[in-house]
Amino acid sequence: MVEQNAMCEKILRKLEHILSINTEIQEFAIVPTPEIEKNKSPVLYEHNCLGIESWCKQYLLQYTHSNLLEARKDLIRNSLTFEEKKNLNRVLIGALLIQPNVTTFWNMKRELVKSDILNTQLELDFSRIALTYHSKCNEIFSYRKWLIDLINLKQKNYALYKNELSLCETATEKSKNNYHAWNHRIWCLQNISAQYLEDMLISELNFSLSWISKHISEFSGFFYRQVLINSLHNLKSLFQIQMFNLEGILKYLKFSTLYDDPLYVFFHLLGKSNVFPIIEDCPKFVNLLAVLLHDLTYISTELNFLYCDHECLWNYRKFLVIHIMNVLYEYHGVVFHYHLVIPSENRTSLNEINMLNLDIKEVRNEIPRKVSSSNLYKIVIQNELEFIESNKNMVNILQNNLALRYFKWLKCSNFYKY
Amino acid sequence: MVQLYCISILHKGGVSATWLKSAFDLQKFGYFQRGSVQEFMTFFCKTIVERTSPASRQSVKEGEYMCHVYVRSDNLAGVVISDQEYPSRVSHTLLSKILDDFTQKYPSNWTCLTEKDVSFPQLNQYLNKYQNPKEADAMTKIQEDLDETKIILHHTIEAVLQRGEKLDDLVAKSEGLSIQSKAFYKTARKTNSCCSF
Repeated sequence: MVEQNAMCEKILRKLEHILSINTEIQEFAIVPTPEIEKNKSPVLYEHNCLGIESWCKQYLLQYTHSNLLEARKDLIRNSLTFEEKKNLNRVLIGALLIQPNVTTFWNMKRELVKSDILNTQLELDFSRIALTYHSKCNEIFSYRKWLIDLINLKQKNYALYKNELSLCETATEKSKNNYHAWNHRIWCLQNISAQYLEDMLISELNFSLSWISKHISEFSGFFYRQVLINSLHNLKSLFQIQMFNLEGILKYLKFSTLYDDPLYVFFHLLGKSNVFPIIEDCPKFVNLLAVLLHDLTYISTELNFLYCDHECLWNYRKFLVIHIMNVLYEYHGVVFHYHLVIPSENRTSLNEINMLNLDIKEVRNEIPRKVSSSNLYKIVIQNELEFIESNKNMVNILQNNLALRYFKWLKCSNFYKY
Repeated sequence: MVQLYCISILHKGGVSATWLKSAFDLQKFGYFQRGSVQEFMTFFCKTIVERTSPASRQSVKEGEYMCHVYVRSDNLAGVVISDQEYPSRVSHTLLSKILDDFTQKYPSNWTCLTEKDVSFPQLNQYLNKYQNPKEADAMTKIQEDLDETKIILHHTIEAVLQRGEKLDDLVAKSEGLSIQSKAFYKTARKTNSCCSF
């Protein structure tokens, strides 16, 4: 036991030493290795990458846990000397690198940060390294949030959030469906000051586009894009619409217009509104439509042909259509209720359609005249029907089914009058 | 994730297959894993080529990975390892294309070739270019006559192995795998999370 403790202490010292001299460590890993054969240190350190061999994990865990739980009481009573606190951090480093999901230990780190033993910037660095191996660990993300809030008390810092975004990107690349990483990203979006919000939304829209094209069957990416689109509602200024290749979109939708100015084009699409007579006054409609139509043509159509039978794409398409309709209704001052109506002869398939837990009502609402006569409504519905048709002709059975199901949804959602 | 990990060209001899050239892109894996992952991918390419009959195509799904193999009737073979989301159609077209290119440079006598003699830098270029399947799509449209129904799809590696063979035994017996890679394989099997090769 004594021998093992000495060994653990040695490993911890080495880890702490490496972390203190090199601030550019790229990643940490526990490397599967068979039992000890040679008398050599289990700490691996090459090319800015840090690792430990898996056999020493159990000894380290045992040693660090028993040490830390003991020291915890003293830490709370504040009866530790400066030197002891420093030593405590060394044990914490080892414990948290191996098993970062222990909130108690992160809380001890918080104590040490509060008593100025640890530097917030260095702690951000450390938690970044811990995250490279355990990329799905919520405790690390919440520790980072705490640190950032702490730094922000002194001074709001935009670069800090930028940094978090790239960290989230690596974490989501490393493990699939990384709920905590996406949540962290959304948290950044919500916490950034309003003056940067627009810049960030634009860069995030671009980011999510390229992320989605690389992770086509992961809904997390689509969900994040939906969050971004929903945040466009609050934007006060008008986007630079050139970004979205309006011409290409209109060509795809087979809509010809005499106007060049995007504002007029949107006006032509939406029709004349009694509620918002001047479209310039409400940038939100233009912003939203630009993104929604872009996604409808690019993500949902182009990617759909490249990657067959991905239900994600079809689900996202539903989201887009619902939102386009929402914009139209709101623009014309009509209250929009999204609900599905199941025709009585199809009651058996009710469960299938109600997967989204939507409110199913008996009443069949008419589409307001103003909405159904607008150009936008006509071309979107026409485009959807053509899209379904082109997918029905495919050899792929699954894709065929998805197209049929989508058609059914379009009818039930009351957007399409048959 | 849409990603290509490895492209290899092999020659299927009477008893075993020999490597002619391979290219890897293992950036996604951790630094300390890369060596083992590469060893496993090479091991797996060889194993699967040996178990594919000439003039046929197979696709094997294993965990989150896809392995596509094409052995031509003249015993030249190509293997692509990608993740599951990478479109299979593109992988198989890529295989035909690289094998054609390779034959242009080395028309015959593959039995005498070893990996050292072969200089075929195009393989790495293909690997980079095809990371984005959209880029490649222009080419795939021309080759849509690829008969997808003839590609045999297996849902595990075990399904490809001959009767009585077990992957665990093959791994244990293999000489191409280091002790560390074998340990890595065992852990991966147990946790079934980081790499299922």
